[in-house]
Amino acid sequence: MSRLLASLAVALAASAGAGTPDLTDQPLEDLLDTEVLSAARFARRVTDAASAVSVLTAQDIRALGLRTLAEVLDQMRGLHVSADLSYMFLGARGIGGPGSLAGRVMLLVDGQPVVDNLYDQLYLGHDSMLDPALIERIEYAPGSGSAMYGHNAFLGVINVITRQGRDLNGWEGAVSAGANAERQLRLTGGRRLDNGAEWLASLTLRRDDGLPSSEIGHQPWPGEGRALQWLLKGRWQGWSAQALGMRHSVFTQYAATESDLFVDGSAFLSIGHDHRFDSGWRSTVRLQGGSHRYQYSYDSDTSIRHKRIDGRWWELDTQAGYDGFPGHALVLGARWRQDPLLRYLRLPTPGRDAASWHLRRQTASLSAEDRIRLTDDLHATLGLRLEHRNGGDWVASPRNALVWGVAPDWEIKWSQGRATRLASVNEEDFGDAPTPKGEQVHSRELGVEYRRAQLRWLATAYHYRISHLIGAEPDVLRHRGRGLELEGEWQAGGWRLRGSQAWQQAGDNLGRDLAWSPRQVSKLQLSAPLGSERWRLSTSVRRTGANTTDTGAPVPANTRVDVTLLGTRWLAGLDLRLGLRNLNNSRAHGQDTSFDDPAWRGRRNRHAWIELGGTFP
Amino acid sequence: MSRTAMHRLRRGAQALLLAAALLGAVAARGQADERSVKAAFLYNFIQFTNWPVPPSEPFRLCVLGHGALDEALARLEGKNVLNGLHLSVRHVGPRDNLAGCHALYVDDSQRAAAEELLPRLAGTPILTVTDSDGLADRGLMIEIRKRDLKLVFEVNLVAARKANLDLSARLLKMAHYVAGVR
Repeated sequence: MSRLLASLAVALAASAGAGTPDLTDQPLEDLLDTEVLSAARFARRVTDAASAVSVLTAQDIRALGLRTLAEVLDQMRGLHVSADLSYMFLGARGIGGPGSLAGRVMLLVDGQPVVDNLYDQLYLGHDSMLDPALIERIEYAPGSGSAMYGHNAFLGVINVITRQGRDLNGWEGAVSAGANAERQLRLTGGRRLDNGAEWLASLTLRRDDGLPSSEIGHQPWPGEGRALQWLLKGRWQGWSAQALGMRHSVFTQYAATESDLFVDGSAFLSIGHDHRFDSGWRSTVRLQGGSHRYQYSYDSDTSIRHKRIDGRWWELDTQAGYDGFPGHALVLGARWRQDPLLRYLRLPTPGRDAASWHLRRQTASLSAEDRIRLTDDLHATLGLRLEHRNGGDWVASPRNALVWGVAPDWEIKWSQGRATRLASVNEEDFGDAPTPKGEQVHSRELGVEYRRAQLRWLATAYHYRISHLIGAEPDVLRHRGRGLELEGEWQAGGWRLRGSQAWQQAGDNLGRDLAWSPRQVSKLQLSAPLGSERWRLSTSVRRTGANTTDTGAPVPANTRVDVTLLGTRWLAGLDLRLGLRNLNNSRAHGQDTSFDDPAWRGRRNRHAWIELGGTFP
Repeated sequence: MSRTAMHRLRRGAQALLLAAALLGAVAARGQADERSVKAAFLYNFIQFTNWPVPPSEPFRLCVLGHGALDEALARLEGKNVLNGLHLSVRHVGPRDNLAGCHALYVDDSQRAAAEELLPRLAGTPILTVTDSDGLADRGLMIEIRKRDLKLVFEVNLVAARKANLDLSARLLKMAHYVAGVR
């Protein structure tokens, strides 16, 4: 450990020596041709200022070699990612694990919710609708965000801001290959035109052994996964349009006469207009829609099964903001949503008739938020959302928050609120099990943040209580969670060091800990330039504490060390990334219950990948 | 994790850190510090600008709040600009009177304060420069951006014209993007 600290001391000394020399005698032409060593710059958040927000930027994602949304989120404070053999699952504040399809965290891409309307599921592996190479900034704001974002923002909100045409002004391509039969190709183009209009288009194609992420090892049966992710976006004056989607298919051959195939496909569309009026009002109108399809076929010598599940939706989302009242920033919103198609179709197979279940939904919601400046250093936020879905009651999600700039560089934040999660169509069994009342979470949180020049840290303590649980055993009436989270970041001389620690406990009213709920989640990331910014070596350490599966089987604590080498314009203008994953070859026990064969349990999954990329005018 | 595995992991991490630390020390000398280059950009922008009423002594460079560039900007204090004026650096708040400011620098860390200030800046003859993404779209005149390993800048010519500031053709030629060129 002492040697570790000595290494850090050398780094500190090196960065301190960097200094800030005077370059004013150099002509601008020369300055434009000068390579720079990154200065400390903490990512600025766009999500609600009253939350203890974690942010990762394109720079972090590139340096750390993060290639799925799950990998990105697994670097963020307090979040932990788990998987079964088909999907990745997000755990936030001690809740969420394999099988809990309905997410309790809202995912927005450029303000557009990208959750399907059948399972309310987040797709985070190679089945995700977004290639992380397109992320400019991703923010995670824990805590109930329903007052601002709607009923799915139950335990937190993830806000993804994607890159713009101006960030490319040309084309960018990348090819990669790695363990688990992975081959991937990405082509992205974008430009800003003289009239100010911008466009960006991207396509990622991938082939692998069929698991949602290489993080969970190789597929124990022969099979093949194919994935396609696409994004189109454009902007001109106040208008903006965006479409993104994915298609992911996995074929698995379990035995000579037994195989299955599943396909997920989704598309999300959004057209919007923003306007600022001279009177101080600003408006946002967005028409959004999407579709999701899941198909499953199972074929063996004793049984054949086919099913197809389809969902479509559209919504009109409007917001009006007004800053004209001194000391107030008011935002009013109204949303109307239609889910005209929610269908489960069992296709006819020998000995089994076709059957179908389907329903429609309409949801309306109204929201209001006022950010009030009480003094120069003290702001209060009052928010309320009223939401109504056909067949249910109006539900209210109120929230209040205080942000106090107690001293220069220091902020204390308090928030309290109630959020609602309405049952997914899958949880309602496609109409067979109506669940008009949603789950409710009451949460309180107190945090303190410090931010100055090269150093930033925050600490936050929270407590929540969830009632009216959806799909719980009859004697489980409540879930309770509490926790303490710390996060720190230091940047100097091109070095970036970030770490976080979460202590958490989530249990039910019977005194049992929840399944897939680790007591501790730790993250550490270090990124350093090697000789110059052209080469960068980054490492991350993630430790997820011990927990249990939903059948009570123990999952031991797991520590993973990843290393990524990044070479920018290293040869003929090409970029190189080399990723070494799970360097310490630790065992993953999370999927043990998926395997009959004991040899497949506690699998070690050290692996590597390589990527070559380049830009073209 | 077993004790041996922990030991190996620790040794590996130490080796990586040491290697990176040594190379990092070289890095400090290999490339220019981003903050110094940004300050030098700002100094050059001033030289390429003509004000509707020529600034009087001292040339007042205002800086919104405090940020990462404070040290680099402080080094500009007393420097000669615009043939004979001495540059003076002053830190201002979002609700301060900006009379007397000839140029204003808005650091990315001051984005929230900038939002408050923006409505007051439109049409004011102050050269506004920022390194915060998208603020040139919102009405600041010059935005510095990092592109790959170098810095570039964009110009919002509409905002500059509205404030009757004349940015030299040479400056515009070097800009990565100029909005409102037609």
